[in-house]
Amino acid sequence: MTDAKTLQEILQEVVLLGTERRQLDTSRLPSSIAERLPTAASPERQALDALTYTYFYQRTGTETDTYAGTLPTEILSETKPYIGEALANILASILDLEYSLKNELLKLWIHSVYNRGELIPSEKVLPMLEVCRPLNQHSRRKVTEIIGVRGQTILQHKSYQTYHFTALSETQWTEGPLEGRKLYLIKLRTTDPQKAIELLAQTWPSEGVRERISFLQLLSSNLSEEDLPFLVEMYEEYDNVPVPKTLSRVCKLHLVNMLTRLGHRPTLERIAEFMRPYLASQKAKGLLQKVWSGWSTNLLLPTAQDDHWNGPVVNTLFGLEEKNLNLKLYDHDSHYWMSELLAWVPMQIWADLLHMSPLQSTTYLLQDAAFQTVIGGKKVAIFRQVLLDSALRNTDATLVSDLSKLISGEDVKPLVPHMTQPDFEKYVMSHRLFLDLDLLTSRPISTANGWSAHFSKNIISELLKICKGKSFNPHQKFGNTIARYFHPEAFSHLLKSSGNFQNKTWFYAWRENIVEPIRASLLIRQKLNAIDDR
Amino acid sequence: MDIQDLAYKCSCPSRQFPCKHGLGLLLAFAAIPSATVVEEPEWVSTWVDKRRNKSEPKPATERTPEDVEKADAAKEKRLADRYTLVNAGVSELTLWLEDMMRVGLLELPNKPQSYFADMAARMVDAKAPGLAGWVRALSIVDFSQVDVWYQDATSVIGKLNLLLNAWKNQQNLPPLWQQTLRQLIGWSQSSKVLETDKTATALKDEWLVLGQEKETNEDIVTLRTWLWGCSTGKSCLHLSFGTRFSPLENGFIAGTIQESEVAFFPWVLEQRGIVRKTKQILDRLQTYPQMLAGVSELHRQEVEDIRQNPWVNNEVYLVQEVKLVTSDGRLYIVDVAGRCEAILPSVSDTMWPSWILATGHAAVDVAVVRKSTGLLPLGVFIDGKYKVL
Repeated sequence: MTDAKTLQEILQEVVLLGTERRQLDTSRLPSSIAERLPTAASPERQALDALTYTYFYQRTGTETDTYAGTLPTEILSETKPYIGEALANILASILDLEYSLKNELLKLWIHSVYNRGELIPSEKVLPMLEVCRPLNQHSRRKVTEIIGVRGQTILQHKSYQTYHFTALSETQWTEGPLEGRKLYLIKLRTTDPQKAIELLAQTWPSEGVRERISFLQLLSSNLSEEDLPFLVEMYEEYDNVPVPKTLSRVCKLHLVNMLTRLGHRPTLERIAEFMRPYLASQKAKGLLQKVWSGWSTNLLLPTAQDDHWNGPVVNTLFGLEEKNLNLKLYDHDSHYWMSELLAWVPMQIWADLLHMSPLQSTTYLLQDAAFQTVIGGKKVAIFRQVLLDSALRNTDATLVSDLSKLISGEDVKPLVPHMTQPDFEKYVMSHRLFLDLDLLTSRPISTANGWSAHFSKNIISELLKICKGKSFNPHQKFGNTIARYFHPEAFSHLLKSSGNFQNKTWFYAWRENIVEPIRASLLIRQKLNAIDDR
Repeated sequence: MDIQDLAYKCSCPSRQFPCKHGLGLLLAFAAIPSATVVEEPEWVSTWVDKRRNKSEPKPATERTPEDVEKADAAKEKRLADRYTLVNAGVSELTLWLEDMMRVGLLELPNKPQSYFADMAARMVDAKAPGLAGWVRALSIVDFSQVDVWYQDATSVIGKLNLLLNAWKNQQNLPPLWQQTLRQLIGWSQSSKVLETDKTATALKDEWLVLGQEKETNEDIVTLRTWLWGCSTGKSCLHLSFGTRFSPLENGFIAGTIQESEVAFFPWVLEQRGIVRKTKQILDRLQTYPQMLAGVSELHRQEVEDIRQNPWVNNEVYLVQEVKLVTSDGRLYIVDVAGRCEAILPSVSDTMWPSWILATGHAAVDVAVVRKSTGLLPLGVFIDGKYKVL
């Protein structure tokens, strides 16, 4: 009997090439097929019928295949509990919202489920993975934790590459690429800080300078007292040694920065010693007199390099660049070095040296005539940028607050995410930045960053004024932004204020684009808070 | 809003049907059923009256024997004309296939779409839309898949050739076969007629809605819904169609169980049917359906079905205790004896995650639909409950 495969081969050549070029040899066909073919018919008819019989012959005359591989034996079962109906309902409400607001509230929802150690039901996993694709890596990592073992298994499929994260294990630290090692270090810093420092100390001598800078930046972002012995030990390599290479200088500066932040006495004394010849106590006058009375300490920087302040010394002591790299802004080398020190050494140290409060020191460094220059006909404070850098690098809340009061305009924008809530609200109101969506959304959503009722009311009132003046269309993006931070107590004010539109279209736009997102968001946040409090 | 015979009319320009205003009124009506409109606007009264007039059956005019005779003669003439057209179409399509054989199937991938579209249009003109569908099926074979397209093409050509041969011989076949062939050629089936046809097979059962599949072909959307009679072990394929002018009606929710009466269109190996009336929706399976004992049994059942009706397609089967595995980039269901059947390649990407989430690698009973290039899993039975995939 001809098997299906051979039969296929006999026919395939004829059918593919055509009866013009190949003739069907019916004698090679199984008799049960051959005897059914019309003998007096054309070759095309014969081929067509042979094809038909062969198709059904194969379809019904063959057995099913046997699987040669090994069947999976381990059944994937979940140990954690699934979310309750309340959280499932909140998720459904969130998914109904507009894109940007949805994503923000989704993060809160994921955070809540993650903290409760619960899982989302398996039938919700696929839609959840789809909807969470645009979220940041932090949130997506949490998603991978709340989808359970089955959910984690399907992540290996190629369509879920967005959720493919480097496995964070010790092997990653010893063998992985820099990004993977950084992620492992971040994880250890939160779960086992001591081990993080031990691992870092073990490999430090063999690390390249780029790697060292990366790791120091990580330490800097969540510095703790326990890091001091490690940092002191690592600094020994750079202590009183000239560092001509740029990256090595940066590495040294990071170490100096962290040592000063942790109050390392020898480093602080070295800075004090370095500054002493140029600090002069005198009776306050001019600007300083306006700010406070009594004696103060002035910074009298040399206009030329001297034995104490010169390139090789600053490089050896702190790792500063020997030459002034910004001749446009800094008239003297000493100003350049001072700016570098201001950027890397926390403001409290300068306040102590100048015998002033941090606010007074910041005011002095920003506004004193000695620290001004003229660029393009405009007076510029030469330490303005480095003070902003210092505030961000050292996450110095006091300096952020002081700078937000002393500096106006675009320069302050980078500080906005770090401002206290009252400072932020004051800044927005005083600069009338109600419509600056980027600015308003630059602060992460958290209880601490929620707007006060007063500010929420003010925003609504100001917006209404602009809308009723017909100069602004109440766009949905705005409603979605306000909705993220809006205070619940201001909602009644929002409702009361929303009734007096002359223009019907704008009234509906206001209601749909501003009132509705705020209402929905408040409701969801309220429900989530209630669940979190349980 | 006509509440008595549900209908909506609104002056708004919304293309959604019903519009949000209509939905709002319905919700209000659902919340407060006692609410009534004190005074109907004139245009509403006119619209409602017009609807009532339309729905009232027109008094039947008395037909004389001559009228009946005339109507019957006209009907017979229309039928004869259609047969003439269809026969001509069948001859033309036979010639087309023979020509294809003469030049060889290797030429097929190089043919422009118009090669198939023109022939499909000629079959529509020949009042044989069923044959046009077969030609279109040939046109959508994926010729980019070198190892697969030959199998797909010969599957279509083989079944089509058998149909053309059968049609030429239809006068020698029993009436049920003649009817089946007519439907395959493109005679339409009327759901309205079946609704009241007392001779049609009708079964009362708990019908489990196994799953749905939507397919768009040019302007027509076809929604296939597979039902399974848990006590009778009978399956039913329900078809709904939607076009630009008539929205697709979907009265099913996959995974639900309904106690209904289902009537079947006459057909060798009854498959397509309609739900006549539903008594109630059940919250769980009262009777666990009978399963085929593994993949070999599934194959035997398929062979038996093909033996009864070679054109059987989209038939649904329930198979006992299978697992899903991947091999050489394709998915297979494998039974406890190690026998396997391939899954439809087009659903592989979505099927694997859904399957793992539902089963966690456990062997489960499954509902599958036989398609020409593989099986389409619809859902799995876990702990006595049906889960749609």
